[in-house]
Amino acid sequence: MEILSRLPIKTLFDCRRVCKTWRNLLSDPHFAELHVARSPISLLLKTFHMRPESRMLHLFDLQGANTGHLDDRLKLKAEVNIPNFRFALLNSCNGLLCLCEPDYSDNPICVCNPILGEYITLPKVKVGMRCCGAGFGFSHETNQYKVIRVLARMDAASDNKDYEAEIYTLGGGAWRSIGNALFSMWCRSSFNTLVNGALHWLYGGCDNPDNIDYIPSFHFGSEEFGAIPAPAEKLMGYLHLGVLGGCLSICDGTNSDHIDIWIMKNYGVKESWSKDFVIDNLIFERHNLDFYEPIMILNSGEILILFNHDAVVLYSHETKGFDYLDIFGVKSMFEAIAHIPSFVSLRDVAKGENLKV
Amino acid sequence: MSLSPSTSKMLSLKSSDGKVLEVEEHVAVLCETIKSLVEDGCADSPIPLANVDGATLGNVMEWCKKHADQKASADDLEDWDAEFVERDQGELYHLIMAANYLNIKGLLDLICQKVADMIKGKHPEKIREIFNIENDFTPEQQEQIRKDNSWAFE
Repeated sequence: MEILSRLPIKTLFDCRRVCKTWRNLLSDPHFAELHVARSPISLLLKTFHMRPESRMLHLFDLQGANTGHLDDRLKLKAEVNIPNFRFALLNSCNGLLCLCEPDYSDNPICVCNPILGEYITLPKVKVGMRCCGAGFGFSHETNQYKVIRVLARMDAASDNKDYEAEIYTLGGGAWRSIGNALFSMWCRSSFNTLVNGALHWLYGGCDNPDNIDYIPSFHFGSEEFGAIPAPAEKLMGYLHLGVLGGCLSICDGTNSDHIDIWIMKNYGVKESWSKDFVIDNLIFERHNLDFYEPIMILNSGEILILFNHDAVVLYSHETKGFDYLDIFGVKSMFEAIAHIPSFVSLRDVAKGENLKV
Repeated sequence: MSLSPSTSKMLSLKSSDGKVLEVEEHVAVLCETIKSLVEDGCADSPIPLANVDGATLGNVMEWCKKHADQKASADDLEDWDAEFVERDQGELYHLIMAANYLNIKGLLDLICQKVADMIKGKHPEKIREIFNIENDFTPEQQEQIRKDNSWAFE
């Protein structure tokens, strides 16, 4: 297991065909645990949901990123790997993906492992309520995977602005209320902001007309909402929250001539926010309408950035230059997140649930 | 001459086949297993290592000696390690078992990565050949697994 957990996903599929002993080793939950800790982070792309081909995901191995080519790719298809409905990506945790209907309408939330082709569908929202945000995470305290969703009452006449929070523990079989939600959840599709066992979001989403003075969070272990301090400097306008190098980060793209990337070095400590990158050598494709969304920092120190939702670029802090990455076969606009492909099986983490394979 | 190696205490390690090896303490404590013995004050008599044969113990200590050397640069160590792992499978196997037993994370990582690189990108037939593994799937089972995973091989 020590050896096999160091292999790339594609080779592991070959290894499952070697002999029964190896196949059993690779199906062991302990192997999944070892592997997910070592598995290199990959890039997951999903085309926008208006397009028919949006029911497919593309997973790129980033080992070859510095050569400018991402040719090691897995196509994750509807039916085979992922449920077949018009979904949006919520977020990714330990190789599991949380999917939902774009705009959270009637369709339920799904959790799936696209590599193993397993998924479970969670029960829908009760009548009279609507879901306004959801996210997926892992509780280290209890070793459980959980989905949080925030509900609001449907009747517009009601003055009741309270939000209700519900938790679904995988393997638990039902949603349970944890009372009022301290904050509403604004989660545009495709956000990936799990740090320290908690999920984070920006109050106003991407567009913040007012200065943000805190970042709402939800901790999956304690099942409590919290507020993480924002940088002392005034931040408002076009912001993107993310995780870079294991730290919470904010990318400020408000100004058209540069973007700032803030990193919170010590989680929860306001003073530890530092403006680590100022990128002023911008690409200027659409003048001040360009859109930059940092995805991750590679081992080489370069920053992988989603650019205008139709390209992935690598920014080198040393040369201050951008390189476009070749992404074969993805033509329309897309969203992109960091994802760790894994063998964490819903058979083990959601025992007893109605699993579709 | 730097002070620490010359004044370092010597430890005797006894392999499974009865060979005794004298090793400087600051080298031997790279093995977590030996380190805890030293810290508990149980390292006076020759330390018996029932799961490691003499030849393997020699190889392990060669690695520890190089990695205990403060003067070695990171690049230097990397080159040296690359050469160190150029061995036949039998030796690699014994090294993994020893590194695991003696709890030397750096060495275990190194050898596991080496063996993983031998497997990487290979077809099942080739992997069976390298490790002399018997294929115990029936043709039907084999076809089923191939079908289940077919999407990954386009």
